[in-house]
Formats: sequence, C-alpha cells, structure tokens
Amino acid sequence: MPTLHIAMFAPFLLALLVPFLYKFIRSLHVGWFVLPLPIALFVYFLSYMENVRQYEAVSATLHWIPSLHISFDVYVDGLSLLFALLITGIGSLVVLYSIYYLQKGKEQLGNFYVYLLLFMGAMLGVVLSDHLISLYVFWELTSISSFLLIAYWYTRDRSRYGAQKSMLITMFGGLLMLGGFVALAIAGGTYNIRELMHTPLTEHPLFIPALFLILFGAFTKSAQFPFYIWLPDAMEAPTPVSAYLHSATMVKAGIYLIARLTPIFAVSSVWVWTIALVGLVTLCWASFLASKQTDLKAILAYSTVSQLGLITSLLGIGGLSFHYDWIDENVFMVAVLAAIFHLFNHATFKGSLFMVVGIVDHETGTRDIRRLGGLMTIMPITFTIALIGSLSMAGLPPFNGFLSKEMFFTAMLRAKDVASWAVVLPVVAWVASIFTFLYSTLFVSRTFFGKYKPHVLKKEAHEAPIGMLIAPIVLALLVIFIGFVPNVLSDSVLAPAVYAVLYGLFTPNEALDVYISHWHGFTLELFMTIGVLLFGLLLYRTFPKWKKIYYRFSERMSLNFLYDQSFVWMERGARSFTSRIMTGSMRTYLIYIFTSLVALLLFTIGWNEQWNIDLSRLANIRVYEVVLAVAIVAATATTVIAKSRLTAIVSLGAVGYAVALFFVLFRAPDLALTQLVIETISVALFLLCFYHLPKFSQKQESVGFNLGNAVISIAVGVTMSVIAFLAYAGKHFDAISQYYVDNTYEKAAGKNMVNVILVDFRGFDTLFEICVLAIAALGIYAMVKLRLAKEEER
Amino acid sequence: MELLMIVVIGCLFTAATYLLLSKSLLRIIIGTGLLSHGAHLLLLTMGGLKVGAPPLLGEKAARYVDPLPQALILTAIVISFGVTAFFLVLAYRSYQEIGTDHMEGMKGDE
Amino acid sequence: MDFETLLSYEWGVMMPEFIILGVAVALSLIDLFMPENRSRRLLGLFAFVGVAVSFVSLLGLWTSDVTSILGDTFRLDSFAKSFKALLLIGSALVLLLALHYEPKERIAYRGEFYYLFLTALLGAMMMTSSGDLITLFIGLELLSLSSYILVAIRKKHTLANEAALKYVITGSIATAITLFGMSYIFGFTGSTNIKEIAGQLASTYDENHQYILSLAFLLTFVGLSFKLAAAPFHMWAPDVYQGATTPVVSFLSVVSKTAGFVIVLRVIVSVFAQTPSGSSASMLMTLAPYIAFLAGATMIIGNTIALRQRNVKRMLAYSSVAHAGYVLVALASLSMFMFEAIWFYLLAYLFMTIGAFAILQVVSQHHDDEDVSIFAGLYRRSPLMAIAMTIFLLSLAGIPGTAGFIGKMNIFLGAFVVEPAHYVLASIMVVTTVVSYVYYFGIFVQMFFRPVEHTHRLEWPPGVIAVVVICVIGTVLLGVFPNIAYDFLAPFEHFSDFLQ
Repeated sequence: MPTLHIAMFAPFLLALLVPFLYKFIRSLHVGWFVLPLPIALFVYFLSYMENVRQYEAVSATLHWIPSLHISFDVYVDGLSLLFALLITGIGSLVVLYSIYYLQKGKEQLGNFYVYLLLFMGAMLGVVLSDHLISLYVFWELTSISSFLLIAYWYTRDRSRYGAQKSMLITMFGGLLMLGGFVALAIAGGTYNIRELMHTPLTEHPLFIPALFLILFGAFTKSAQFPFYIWLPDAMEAPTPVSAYLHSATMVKAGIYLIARLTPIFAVSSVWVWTIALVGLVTLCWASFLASKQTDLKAILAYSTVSQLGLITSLLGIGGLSFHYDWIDENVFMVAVLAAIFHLFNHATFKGSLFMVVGIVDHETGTRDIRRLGGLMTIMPITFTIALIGSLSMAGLPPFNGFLSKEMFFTAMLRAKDVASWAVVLPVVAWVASIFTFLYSTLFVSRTFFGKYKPHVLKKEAHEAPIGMLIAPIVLALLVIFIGFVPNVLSDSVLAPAVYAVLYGLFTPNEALDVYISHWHGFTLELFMTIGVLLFGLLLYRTFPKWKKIYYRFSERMSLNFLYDQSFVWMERGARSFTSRIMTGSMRTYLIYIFTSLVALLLFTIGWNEQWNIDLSRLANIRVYEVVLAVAIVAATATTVIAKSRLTAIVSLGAVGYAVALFFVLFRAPDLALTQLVIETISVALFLLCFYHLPKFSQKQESVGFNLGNAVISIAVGVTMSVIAFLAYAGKHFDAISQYYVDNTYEKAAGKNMVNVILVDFRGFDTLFEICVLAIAALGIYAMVKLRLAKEEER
Repeated sequence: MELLMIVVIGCLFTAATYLLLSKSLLRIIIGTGLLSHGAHLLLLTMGGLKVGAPPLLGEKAARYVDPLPQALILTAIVISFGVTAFFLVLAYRSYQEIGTDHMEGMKGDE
Repeated sequence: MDFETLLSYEWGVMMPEFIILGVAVALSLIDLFMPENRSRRLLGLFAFVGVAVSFVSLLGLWTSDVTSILGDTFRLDSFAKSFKALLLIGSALVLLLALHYEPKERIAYRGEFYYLFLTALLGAMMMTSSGDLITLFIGLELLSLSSYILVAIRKKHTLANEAALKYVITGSIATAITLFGMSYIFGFTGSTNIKEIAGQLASTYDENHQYILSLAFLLTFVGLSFKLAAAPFHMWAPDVYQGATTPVVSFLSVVSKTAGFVIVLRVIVSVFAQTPSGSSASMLMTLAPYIAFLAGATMIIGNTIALRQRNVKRMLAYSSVAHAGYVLVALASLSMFMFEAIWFYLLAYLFMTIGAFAILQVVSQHHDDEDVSIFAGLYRRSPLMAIAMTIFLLSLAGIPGTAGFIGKMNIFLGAFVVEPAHYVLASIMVVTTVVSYVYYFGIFVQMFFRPVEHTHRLEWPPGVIAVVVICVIGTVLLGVFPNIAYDFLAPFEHFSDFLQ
C-alpha cells in the first residue's frame, strides 16, 4: 500500500485502537495517545511541500472495487496539501486543547476520540481523493462523524436535535451530489477528476444538471444560504469539535469541492454566478444575523456561515478567470488567491476564537453575553487572544484578516466591470463587512469589557490552565505572524493552491507571482476599510436603538421554522397516507383494485394503436329484443336506487328472468332452463334471509361518497363495454369450438353439445365444480351449526 | 344486436360496481348477483349471437352457435348460485352475531 | 421416459436439493418417533448441518459448466448457483436464530418448524434452477404452502392466526393472478419450457398480439410481486411480520424475498427479454416503465408508512417493502450489471436484515413486547449489541462503509448508465432514502439516547451471538471490500449463460 494511503487510513486504524486504550489505560488521558498521530501526519504532509512548490503533483492508486472501476486515487497538489495541512495542523491543536477541555473520568473520552479520528481520516480522504465515488464515501463519513460528535452529549435534547438536523441536511445534499457525480461521470466517461478536467463537457446535456446537483452538496456542507440552518444548531457539540469541524475544516469541504471542480465547471457562467451570488447572500444575511445573537457560540456560528459565504463568493468570481483571461490574465486570479488566503486565515482566527469561547464557557459556566462582561482583567491572556482574533475577523490591520479582506474588496471591485448590474457586488460586500465589524466588536466588548457580574455566573471566573491556552496562543501567534510576513506563504502554499484551482490556465513554467503587501497606496479598497471602521463604530454605538429591527422578522418566516414544520408535515402526510391507504376496509381496497384495473386496461388498450374493427357479423335486432334490453336496464336501475329491500330483491329477480329470456333468444336452451331454476331458488333464498336481515339503512351517505362510487362504477362499466366491443369486433383467433361440434357425437355419443362438453370433454371440471358447491354447502352448514353449538353453551 | 348487448352489459357492470362499493352487506350481495349476470351475458355475446342453430346436433343445421361459451356460462351460473347462497348465510349469521350488516361496523380495532 | 434415460442424467447437479430433501424427510421421520417431551433443538442442529452440507456441495459445483437435466426442466447455470448460495446462507443464519427462539408460550410441534423450513427452502432452490414454468410454479407453491404453515405455527396466538389467514388469502389471490398470466404465455406459445417460450416469442411478431402479451407480462409480474412484498401486493407484510415469530419473519423477509426475485428474473427476464416489440428492441424494455412505476410506488409506500410505525417488526416490514422497491429499480433500469446489482443487494440485505432481526428477537423476547421503546438504553445494557444494531441500521439506511451502501450505489449507478436514464426513479430513491434515515434514526435514538428503563441483563444465546457476529462481519466487510463478493461471481462472466 502506498504511503499516502497509509497516511490517509492511519486515523481509522488508530480509531480502532482507541477503545482498548481507553479501557485498559485509565491513568492517562486518552487524548495523549491520539495527539502524536495528527502531529506525525502534519510533518509527513509538510514533506510534500517541496514537490508542490515545484508544481509537481503526487498521485497514487489503490483499487477498491475493480469491477465497478472504483478506486482510491490519491492526488496531492497545492489545494489538497493546503487542506491536509489544515486538517492535521488544526487537528493537533484541537486534540491538545480537548485534553484539557474534556475531563478524564467525567466524559466518554473513548467515544470522543474515536469519532474525532474517524472524522480526521474521512476529511483527509475527501481532500486527497481524486475519484468521485471515493470522495463521496469520505464525504458522507464526515457527515456521520459530525453527527456523532454533535450528539456527543446525547442526553441533551438540543444536541440530538442539532445532530439530526445536520445529518439530514448534509446527507441529503450529499446524495444529490452523488447524483451529480454520476451525471458528470456519464458525461465525461470517467470518475477520475483529473481525467475529467481534460475532457470537454460543456456541450453535454447532463452538464448543467450535474453542476447544480454537485452545488447542492457543496452548499449544504458549507452551510450556504438557505441550507446554513444546521450550523448554528451544530454548536451543541463540545467546543473543540466546533472549532475543528464546524469552523476550520469540515464546513470547508464544500468550498474545497467548488475549488477542486472549478477547472471543470468554471467555463460555464451559470457556475460562476450561482456560486458568487449564493456566497454573497450568505455573507450578508449571516453577518446581519450574527449581530443579533446572544450566545457567544451562536455569534461565531453565524460568523462562520458568513465567512464561508465570503470564500464561496470569491471562488465564484475567481471562476471568471476562465472566461476573461484575454483581458489580462491576472484580473480574476486575485479572487482565487483571496479565497485561498482567507480560507487559511479564517481557520486560524476562527479556531482561536472558538477556543476562547470554550475557555470562557469552561471557566465561567456560561456563554450568554448578557451575563458576561468585565473579564478583561480576570482573564488577560484569553482577552488578548480574543482581541487579536476579533480584529483579524473584522479585517483590521495589521492582522492577516485585513490582508485577505483587502483582496476580497479588490476582487469584488474588479468583478463589477463584468456587467452593469455587477455594481451591487462590491456594495453588498461592503455592507456585509460593516456587520462583520459590528459582531466582532460585540463579541469582544460584551465579554471582556463592561461590568463583571459574578452573581449571575455559575462559577468564580479565573484564567484558564496553561494547557488549554497553548492551542489558541499558537493560532493567535499565527494570525500576527501571517499578518506581518504574509509572503512566507505565497510561494509555498498560496501559489500552488491557486495553480491547482485554476488548473489548465497556467503552465508550471509561468511562475505565479504572488506578492501580498499591506500598503497599496490610497486605493478604493483602503477607503472601503476605513468606511467599514467608521460605519461599524456608528452601528455599534447605536446598536441598542436599532436592535428592534431583528424582532420584525417573524419566527414563522424563518428557515428553521420551515425545517421544523417540514417534519410536522411529513408526519401528518405519513399519517394521512397510512390511514388512507391502509384503512383495513375492504371497500377501500376494492376501490384501489377497480381504479387500477380500469387505468391499466384503458392504458393497455390505448397503447395498442391498431385495431381491426370488423362489424360485418352483427346480428339483426328485433323490437321485442330492444324492449327486453330496456327492461333489464330499468330493472338494474331499480335495484340500485331501491329504498326498500323487497324492491331491490324483486328487481334483481327480474333481471335474472330477463337474462333467462335472452338465453332463449340467443339459442341457449340449456342456459335458459338452468337460469330459470337457479333464479327461482335464489330469489327464494333472498326472501328467506330478507326476513332476518335488517332494513336498508335510511341514513343517507354523503353526496361525495355516492358520487365517488358512481364515478368509479361508471368507469368500470364503460371499460367493460369498451373491452367487450374490442374483443367482439377484433377477432384474433379462430374459435376452437369446431372441435366440439365435430366430435360431440363421434367421441361422446351425445347430441347436446353443451351437455357433452360439461359431462364428458370437461368432465373433471364439472366434478370440481360440484366439489365447490359441496364446499359451499358444508360452509353454510357449518355456519348454521356454529350458532347452535354456541346456544347450547349458553 | 351485439352492440345493444354491450351497452346492457356496461349498465349491469356499472350497477354491480356501485352496489359493491356500498356499505350494506345485502346490497353488496345483490351487487355480486348483478355482476354474475353481466359476466354471463358478456361471455355469450363474445361468442357471437344468433349465428346458427342451438347447439343440439339433432337440429341437423349447417351451423350451430358456439357451444363453448354456453358450457362456461352453465358452470358459472351454478357456481355463482353457490357463492350467493354462501354470502347470504354469511350475512345472516354475521348480523346475528354482530348485530349489523353495515361494513364499517364490522371493522375490528386497529 | 425409460429407465436408461433417467440414469443417463447427471443427477449430481441436483446434489444440494437432494441433501435438503433428504434431511427434511429424515427430520420428519425422527420427529415422528421422538418422544413428545424431548427438546427439538437437536432437529434444528441437524437441519443446520444439512443446510451447511448442501452449501458445501453447491460450492463443489461452483465452477461446473451449465448443465440441464430432465429435458431442460432443471438447469444449473450461474444464475442458479449464485442465488442458491444466497438462499442457503440466509437459511443457515435463520436456522441458527430459530434454535434459540423461546417465546413465552410454548410452541407445540416445534419439530414441524424445521422440516417445513427445509421444504420451503427446497421450493426456493427449485425455483432458481427451473427451466420450465411447471417446475417454477411447483417450487413457488412448495415455498408458499410451507410458509403459510410457518406463519401459523403459533397456533394459540390470535395475531398469528390473523396473519396466517391474511397471508393465505392474499397469497392465493396472487398465485391465481400469476397463473392466469402464465396461462396466457402458455396459450401463446404452446409450451411450458422457458427456453422454448422465449424462442417462440422471439421468432414470431404480430402487432395485434402485443397487448395480450403485455397483459400476460403484467399479470405475471403483479402476481409475483406478492412474494417480493412489493406494491401492489405489499399489504400482507406488516400484519404477517407482526404475527409471525421472528425466525419466520426473517425467513420471509430474506429467503422468501430472494426467491421472489429469482422467479421474477427467471420468468420475466428470460421470457420477455428477447421478445420483439413495436417501439423498442424488446418487450421487456417497452414494459420497463410499468416496473419502474411499481418500483417507485413501492419505495414511496414502504418508506412513508414506516415513518409512522411504533412496532419495530411492522417498521422493519415496511422497510423490507421499501428495499424490495430499491431492488426493483435495478430491474426497471435493465442495466448490463442488473444481475450483479440485484445479487449483491440481496446479499447485503440478507446480512443486515437477519442481523437486525437477531437482535430484535432477543430484545423483544426479553420484554415480550415489540414497541420501539424496548430498545431504550440498549447501549448501556449491551453496548456491543447496540453497536452491532447500529451497523445494521446504517447499512439498511445505505450509509457509506456498509454493504447496504455499495448495494444501493450499484443500483443507483445502474439507473443512470442506461439509455434513457431513470432520473425520476433515481430521485425517488434518493428522497425516500433520506426519509428512511428518520425512522432508522428513531431506533438509534432509543438505543443510545434514551435512559434505561429496564435494568435486567439481557441473555445473549451463543447462536444469536454467532449470527450477529457473522452479519456484522458480512455487512462491514462487504461495505469496505465489496470485491470479496464480486470475486465469487467472477467465474460467471456477468451471467452470460442466463439467456442461452
């Protein structure tokens, strides 16, 4: 097995060991056994840096299901390496942090680390796979591990709710994405992403469906509007999990997918504008909502959604590089660069902020900003980290957030030239940035400034232990370090990743010139940042005054309401479906049988276009025959509408005798005789039972009920007539009765053909018929006896 | 003639279906009765009407009507009588035991 | 047919059937002469050994060429071999379960269970191999009649009686419809031999007969849908599942369903695949929309109604209806790999379903109840079994990493690769799969997230543990290395001998 695969599967293998380690070594926190793996993997992936810097991709293949051509193709280029480093790097810090966050003895640590390793392996699989199906498999595994981690404190209702919500939404998206993958593979003839990039696909009819289906997957996973609703509820997970999955890595899988498939899809402007607009709407709406939240984690959740929207919109705009490279090949490349850079920066500052929230929660017992305040002096280190993270998030210099935010503005400003309406892009981006500034400020000020309120806190607040602080400090240092010397990343990480996203636009020899600096002169971007600062402060000052705006939005309008309601609808729908279909009443089943019979028969008749209609054999009509027919119809109608039983029974008898007359007319003497006898006995029997049976219920059924029955019965009648007509008019086969005509006398020595057929040619059938009668008689006898037996018991 | 019979058959089937879908047991039994009449006439009509002498070799006719549908119908008449009788006794007995001939009232609990 | 001809047949190819038949006969004799009060478990063990030996003899025949004996009524081709393997594996696991089934009320005549079980299995095996409508029908009836009695084996149990009655009535209606359809086919071709029928139909083409043929097709298929528990004959499933004992239910939902697909493939595919049709290459393709419609309806009905169920057995019944729908998707899409896809799905389904029923059997027996709440806190009481159950549920839901996922994906891919692709069917499959998460999740929630209500320790008999272990291994192994199963089919070259 190639080493890359070993690295990819290593977390799974360790996950198998963890339960045993947890069970047998109780003295040491099990996290310490887990910690070395992400560190080792991080170092291992660092070793690929050199190849990637040279724009050399490394790939390896391991067959999985050869018969279906499914294999684990691993491909390491700038993009996947960046993600692999994030996953293992942040992963190491999160594991370290969790060792202090989750206490030994109190929690089910074994489970926690199994899930976490499961996630780490799955996420590595997503970013390293070059095969669509294996990518999908790992993708769904991340959803499952996320589900398990959110439900980690499973005794809480909110945890279970959040877990189910995230699973249903992301898995639904995942399944649609699978459909998209399959469509893409049909269009391109391969599941290998690399090969797909070299296949022209745009003309294929499945191209656009595939595009949208895949975007469904990406948008649900990366919590884009309108699917973002699962992410705030996912915050019920332990904070290290939120920091890791729901801000730094898993939610970026969608972004990864968009970036990865950009070379395939970006030639289509549908792709570009769908992504850019969805991203911008998400950015704006979520940053607006984030300012309203009172739970620190909720603020960060909405902030994550909005930042993801930012990155997504950048990738969308970046796709324009494939359209307009003739203007100047670097115009839209800056968008891709900004996306990659911001993705990295976001992982650092948001990771540190989540850990800060974890610390605050851990040390004060609450995350509610209405109870917090004045922690600056009590928790100075935490405060410093929070300040650095927030300023970076708000996009202020000298932190790394500022650099990528500037690039974001540049990209949006460039995009406005594409079309006349595109002017809204930079405006929306700017407004969203003001709200970003606002919630960043609220986050810090409400927690650390103001008055310390010890009486509403569950615990006496104090600074966190050093072990818990290491991870956020490392991330905060990174924020500052990248802020000051951003160009350490440019050649080693950013340029190769941009090269991977814009695969095919450049050759490796055309070295990408990535240079990031703080100062570009007095550009529009700078003024936009200053504007953000000013308006942000203004909004912050006046926040209590305009806060009411949020209450204008009714709960019933929200997407969450829609989600919850859809369960109610589904439940209700399933119930009414069940009660309608499985009534247990024979009548309902009869209706199904009749309707499906009619539908099927008519469909089959309609499907067959050709009929040989031959009406030459029609027999003549006499007046008395018409009279008889009218009499039958009239008697039949009487049975239906009769109010009294007697009328119904008598008219049924009338129908029977009329039928017997018809038998006479149609040269069937035996039938006429039998019919007369049977009809007489039947009527007698009816009248006998009539004495015992209750009167017709006088209760009128509803008109709808009768009408429905009437429609169905008329349909059945018409169908039967049509079939009868077709069967009569279109003769397909010769009658087989000639045999009987010829042989009745020779073989059976009888002259009445009907009788001979019954007792001789088909004698066994008649025997069985007698058996049926005997069984019926036995049944009747048994029923009558049954009563007697019971009466005796009494 | 056949066309007229086809219409009559359609009417019989319509009425029979309507009665089968009602909720009173007696009506349902009457419905089955009508249904069998309809089926018998259908079979006979399909064989062709009045195209020859009755199927008795003694007639010495050149053509006879198709004897096979008649044999089938004869069987069917007898069987349908058996079924009707069984149904009637069933209805009578169940009315005595349960006290209703209404279909909805006979439904057990879920 | 004289004695010489009889001797000249290669009877060896019927070895697996003969073994089952012999064991069934021997068991009934032993049961007859065994003292009334002795435990019948020995009989069960004997039956298990019989099934195992039969499986071994089947493996011995695995690479043999296509052989047909008795004038083409019995043929051992790759189809027969592969599906017989499924039937035997399923039966062996169910027998292991049955050994430990001890309900509150004692079942009289337990011995009956084992040999009726074997005769039912024999019927199913006959169906896989039959090349004639008559033997096919006899196999079907042997299976049906035995299962009617199996359902009713708890004679004193009201629910079981009701279930058995419903099963018999719907079953006989379905049989009648099937027979009606088959009689059309016979009437058209004048032969009961499937190969001859196919040849006759392929060589003659008459515009006017098309609709009668399609009627024959529909009637046969609709009648057979009873065995699959697919729409429109799904309604027996919940009542029967609820009334019958757990081993019988697992038999019905696995072995009997597999047999249903066997007969559908044998009759429908081999008879109609080569029949020319007006608008497309084959009758089967022209009529595929009907199957697709039924598949869609089955998936929707099964999954939506399962949402409402509190009784676990009823829920699994509807879920099995839904799974029949998934398999029908494979049939409707008629892709090149249809046989592999169906076979693999049924294999995966076998492991996950029997596993789930094994756990359900112990838990419900303990509480004498089948409400979903009996699973409450299972994770605390028997963590390993809860994890095993989770794996089965995940597999039933089709989550990656399990056999159920691979099976579902096969079918899903199959629906796409054909021309024209079945987008509607595939999307129904996706949506209903998401719906199914909700009810599988319900059990999951009970096991992990609900407080323990009952603190009694659950007793896990060795046979059940063995079944659960085998099923877990099967589910996971096939999910991670599906090729193990495909390697088994490798000698068959995509069932190329099926239509020859």
